[in-house]
Amino acid sequence: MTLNDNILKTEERITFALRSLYHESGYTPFKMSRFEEYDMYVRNKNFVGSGNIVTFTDLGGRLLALKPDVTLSIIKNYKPAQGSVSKVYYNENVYRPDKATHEIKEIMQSGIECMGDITELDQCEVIALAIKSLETVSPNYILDISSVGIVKGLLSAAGVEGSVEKSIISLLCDKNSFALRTLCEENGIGSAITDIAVSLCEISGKATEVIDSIEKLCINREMMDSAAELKSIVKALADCNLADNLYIDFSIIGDTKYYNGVVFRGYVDKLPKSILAGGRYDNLLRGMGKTGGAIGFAVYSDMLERIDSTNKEYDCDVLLVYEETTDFSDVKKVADELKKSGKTVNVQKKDAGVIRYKELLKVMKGGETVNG
Amino acid sequence: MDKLLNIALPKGRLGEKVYDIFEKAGYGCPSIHENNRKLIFENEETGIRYFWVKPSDVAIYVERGAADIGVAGKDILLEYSPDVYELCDLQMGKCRMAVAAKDDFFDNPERTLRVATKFPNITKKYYSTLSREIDIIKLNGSIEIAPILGLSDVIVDIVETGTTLKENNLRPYETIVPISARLISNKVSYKFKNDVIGKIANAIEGYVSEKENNK
Repeated sequence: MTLNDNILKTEERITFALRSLYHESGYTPFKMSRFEEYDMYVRNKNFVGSGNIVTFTDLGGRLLALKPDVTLSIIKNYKPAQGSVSKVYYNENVYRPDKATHEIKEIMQSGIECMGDITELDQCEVIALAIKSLETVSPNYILDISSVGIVKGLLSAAGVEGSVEKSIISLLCDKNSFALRTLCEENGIGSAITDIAVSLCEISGKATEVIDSIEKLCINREMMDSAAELKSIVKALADCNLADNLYIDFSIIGDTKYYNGVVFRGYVDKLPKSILAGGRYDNLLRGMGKTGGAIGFAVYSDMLERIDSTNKEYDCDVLLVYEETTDFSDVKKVADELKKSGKTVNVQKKDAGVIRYKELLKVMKGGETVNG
Repeated sequence: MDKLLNIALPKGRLGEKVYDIFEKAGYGCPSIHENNRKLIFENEETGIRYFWVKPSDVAIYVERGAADIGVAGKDILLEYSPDVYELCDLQMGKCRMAVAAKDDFFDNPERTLRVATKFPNITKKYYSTLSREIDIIKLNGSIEIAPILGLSDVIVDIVETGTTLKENNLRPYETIVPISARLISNKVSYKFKNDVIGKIANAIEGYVSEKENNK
């Protein structure tokens, strides 16, 4: 069987290209069942990001859920092996609530997860694959990278926790530096630490250019170690010419409960939202009773259909109409010839003005064709 | 991505004031001063396109990338939590989100509090921090009459001068949060059009701080 590449929609082509990208790097496919036990999502409600999960009772009385996430299922199935790293990829539909419509939406997700005895090299490989994934989607892309450790170090230096910590992270995510300054001042955080928080909030620039300025903002061991790790990753990627579109930005921090090291988020110029998100999530692994480290990312394929903004001008190349007395075999013969030359053919009794075509042909009785 | 920088402005007085700041910052679009009903104005020289939208819709245009940046009230940002960057406080359109009630209102904590509002999310969040059980009545306008007609015990609404409340025999009871206009940006636009968005944000910040210093 040969497959005509033109038949694939943009999002399908990208999905297949991503699959082949991960496959080449030795990642094996992970196929999960459509349903998972609801219990697992409840225990990790914050990671899933919402309590709105579609549930139902199966025939045996178990409470099941339409999966809102793939990572948790992969962790559940992961068996740690000393000195080894498990590498899997997936293409799955997940079911999540849409904030605007308050309805459950089916979202296609592709991604990879790398779990086990993670080294810095593994981290670089995953981030490099994230960059390659974005390149597959569009040549104009940006990958923001950042480190949860730097923010956590700052929060512990500031001595804040609970709701203030949550508010600081939320203002970082909004790039709301003026409100961040006010919040720090209201909570008695010293001016030196406040200035650092505001600087982190405002950083947004090429990773290779701003990485040194981050080191200067570090005031404790946790921040320094995390900055050193980030610097080393940026350098490794730059050495492979992968850092041209790599930016540092702390507005992508997300949930510090699950993520612990580098986090990253990808954007392409044609789409208004990020299409790739990932990071290091050892905490989530530990929370589910597994040892080792983990890093991975997901590409949200549902938005990819918006990449191709051109509208189809024609429904088919040839609209083939026939006389009432024309035999089916004659119509088929003409149609088959046209298809052989690579044209798409739609056979109709007459041109009713509904189908848009490039060429109109009429098959007469006996198999002769005339234009129009 | 569109080469022009798309800016969503809120229709009305505030939007016009905001446009003046943009113009002073060098991002003007002379055709906007023509007296007509057009909603979209372009200045190809400066690479800017302005459009007027309903104030409560600005955040939607920006979140979905139809506008790269826009100016929206903090009330809308708190109510709908759009996924956008909040780049600066314009210190304009200042007011506050407040709980208001009839002059003789006495809060009975033994009863569920009935609250009429246009802002159910802000209301829910505020009362959950107080662990107070409430019954939210979502209205779309004329909120002030709800307590008068006994539809609700209190209202949560925007209070500017308090005149409307006073004329309806109501008084502000508690302030929930101060409100003002904010410059917001689509997260992806902020990355791909960083230069021009950064310049505009700086110009606005400069204007605002100058105005504050002159007070």
